[in-house]
Amino acid sequence: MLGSVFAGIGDGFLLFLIASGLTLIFGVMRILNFSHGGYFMLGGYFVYQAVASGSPISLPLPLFVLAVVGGALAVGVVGIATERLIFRKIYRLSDIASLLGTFGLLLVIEGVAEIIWGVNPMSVPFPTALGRSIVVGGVRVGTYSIVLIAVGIVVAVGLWALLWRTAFGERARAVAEDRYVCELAGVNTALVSTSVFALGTVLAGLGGALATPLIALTPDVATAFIIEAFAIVIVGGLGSISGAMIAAIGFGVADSLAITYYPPLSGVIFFILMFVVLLVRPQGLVSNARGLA
Amino acid sequence: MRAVLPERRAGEATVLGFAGPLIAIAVAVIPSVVSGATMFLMEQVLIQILFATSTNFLFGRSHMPSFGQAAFFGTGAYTVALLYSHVPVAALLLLAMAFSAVCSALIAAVSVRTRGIIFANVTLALGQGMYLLAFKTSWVGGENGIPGITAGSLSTRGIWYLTGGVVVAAVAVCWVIYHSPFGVTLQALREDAVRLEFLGVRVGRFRLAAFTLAGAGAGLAGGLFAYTAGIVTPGTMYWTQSGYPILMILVGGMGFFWGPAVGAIGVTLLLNQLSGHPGWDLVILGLVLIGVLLFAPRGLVGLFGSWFGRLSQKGLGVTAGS
Repeated sequence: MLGSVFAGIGDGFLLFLIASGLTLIFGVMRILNFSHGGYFMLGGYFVYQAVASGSPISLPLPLFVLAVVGGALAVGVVGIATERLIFRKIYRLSDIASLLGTFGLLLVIEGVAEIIWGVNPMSVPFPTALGRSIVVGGVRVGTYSIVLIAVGIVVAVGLWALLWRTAFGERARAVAEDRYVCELAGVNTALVSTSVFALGTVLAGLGGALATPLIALTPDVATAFIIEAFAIVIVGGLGSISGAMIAAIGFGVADSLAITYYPPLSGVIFFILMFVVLLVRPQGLVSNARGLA
Repeated sequence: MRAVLPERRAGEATVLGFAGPLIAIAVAVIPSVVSGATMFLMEQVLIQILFATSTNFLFGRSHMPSFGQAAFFGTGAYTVALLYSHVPVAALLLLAMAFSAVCSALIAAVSVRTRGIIFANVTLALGQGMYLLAFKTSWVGGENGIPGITAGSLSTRGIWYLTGGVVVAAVAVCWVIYHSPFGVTLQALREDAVRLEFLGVRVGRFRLAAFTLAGAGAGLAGGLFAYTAGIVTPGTMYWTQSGYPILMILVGGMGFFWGPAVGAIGVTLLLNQLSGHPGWDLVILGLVLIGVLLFAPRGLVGLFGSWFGRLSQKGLGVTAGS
């Protein structure tokens, strides 16, 4: 029981990585981004590409860390390029049209991945020392879950500090609240948008990179994870990073318990929970009419 | 609420009067002149025309951007797949339509409380939930789905006539509903729901009805798909499949009754052309979607509509609607 709760928290923090970037981009750009799943998937493939030449059984930890960090940053570069080329034009559309535009971009990213890597599942082994489980206080916990939780906490604290303790964060929150007034006040809103988009896609890439030992990597990963991420940011409250964290951990734990005790519910539980929460609180758990929370 | 001018309507009726017999003749002759593979492709075009046209009640008419229509398409397909050996074809198609309508009414009952992006997401999540259920439930075939579906004693040619007849009839019904006072009220719902509510229209009921109607059309299309393909897999319900009718609607032009049909023909044929190039099909579809949104928000019919309209003196219905 406690073991699967712990594994669920680890999975939840992984989901938080993709959901936090999604909700951040929504908060600042008012655009719900289907293609975010594509950046997650690219993060996974970049890691695969970096370690593919090595042994299929053992993966040295330093190489994995390097591949994860490099993969996440490379995804950020792709993010900046797509923001400049395509997203900038999509922001101006209505909310539904922009949602569909990002769906188009998701198809493009998935298609490119299919052209490069094909549809056969790829796998990345656990890095050495991280594929085991240890017993802590009578509870068996996976070492990789510990890593995910640690990374998730670091990212959460880092995001909080960045948004609420730096000049950049102040600008981002101001643009989120009122882009027009910020432009009048001389804030370079285009630069803020690009930076926030880059940050969001790096987080998605980091999530995808860290997910590689846990999943079978196919281009479909993009469409599978984005739905769960959407459920999380909507339940958490659009634009709310703390809400995304609560929802992500809640979903992760619920799904993990479902896998242990009643497997047919795994996956479906996301949509049941989303359904219940939206019936009770249509605005999401942590709501803020405009801006980031 | 007289959104459609009578003379335009008369013009459309005249054109339909000419087009109707032509379509009937085409449906009758086609099996004699094309190969089996081409006939299958044309069946899929017809099915997608019905799917996209009924989905447009949500996009072009009432502004309920559903991202879960594939689930209702799949519901219809699975209804046929599970019962084909027990129920005659015509009755089973009606049953597939009715069952999808019931499912969509249930989902609408909760999702119509939300609007815009949240509505899109609630329908997306519920549709994906139905996909997962189909994927995990062994008595509906699980991951592999249900193969070997036959349409009673109907031959390949019989299935073609069935598909052609049902789609032509269903699209005609859609046309009548689209231009009926009900359809025009949906249009008003899209323009200004608050004002409509203020005027005393039960907006919630119209939303529910529109969603149920779209679900019924999707279910009928799905039932036909099961008969033509002979196999149903959970993949037909996967959420990206819900994006295709939307793509067709946008490519054709959501403001026009015939827009989705034009888009369905274009996108289905394009997909067929690209089927030998895995990956490229997605890239090109995605670029088409982005391109249409940015450069031709009124779709193909909107682009060529004025030219087309002048040609037929506003008779083809392409200038009617919004």
